[in-house]
Amino acid sequence: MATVVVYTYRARDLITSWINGGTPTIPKAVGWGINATNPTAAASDVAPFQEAAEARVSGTNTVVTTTTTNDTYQVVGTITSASGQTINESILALTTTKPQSTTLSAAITTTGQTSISVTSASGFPGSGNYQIQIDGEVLTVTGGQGTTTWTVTRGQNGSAAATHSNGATITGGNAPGSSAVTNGDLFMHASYTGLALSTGDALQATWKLTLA
Amino acid sequence: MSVHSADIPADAELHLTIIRADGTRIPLGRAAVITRNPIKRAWWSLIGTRLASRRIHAANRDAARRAAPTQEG
Repeated sequence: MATVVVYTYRARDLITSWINGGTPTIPKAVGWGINATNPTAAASDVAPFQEAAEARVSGTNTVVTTTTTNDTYQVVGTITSASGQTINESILALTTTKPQSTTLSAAITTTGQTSISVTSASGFPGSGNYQIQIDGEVLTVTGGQGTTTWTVTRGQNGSAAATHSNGATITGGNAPGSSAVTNGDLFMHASYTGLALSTGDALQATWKLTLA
Repeated sequence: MSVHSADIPADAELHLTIIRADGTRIPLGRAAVITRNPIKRAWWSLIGTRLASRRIHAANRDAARRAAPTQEG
């Protein structure tokens, strides 16, 4: 695990489309994650590795000065922990509603496996291709939509194919050019050393995005 | 951690602050950073990440200490 923060490829896709005349959505939904394997955040990510049970919060967004006037976009959000848990990832997304997630009902034992079994397909697109995140890997679902056996293309969006344990979290997300997954736009992703919180503890996240 | 400057459109930082249930605030400072500046990037890779992890480990020890049963006469 590396301590890192990234702009996702989807964020770059969104920013360029906004500059090109699209209607922007303010990225100010703050969330956190608890994936036990604690992968390193990467620009290829389309979703959190394993989002915690707590709801995302809509942060307070401002424009502040870091080096030159108004060069930094800042979002501050605080989430209170409802249980004892270890937080090791933070996200900045476009919506406070989380994208759909499920789990693997059987391990993915090879990097070439193209059929995967999931606990539930409820809430995922019933047709058409869409992306999912399992640990640090992005996969494209190309078949079996609406069922619990999906045909997938491995190592998508610049990620590397890997093996995954039974029970691993699967979360839907959007790669550049796609909006197939509802609430599936991940803007920024950070991973860091696990931070232990007790019930009632809160974590205030301050995102600072400087246009250098 | 590998960093490719062409992949970095701008600098970004994530600052974290723990607010314990009793109201105690524990600023952890910068928990994660990405920057185009090669000197800052090298500093973060070599030193900053270790400092950030050290602050988090200290906070975790504090949490464990708070959770441990106390002996009171």
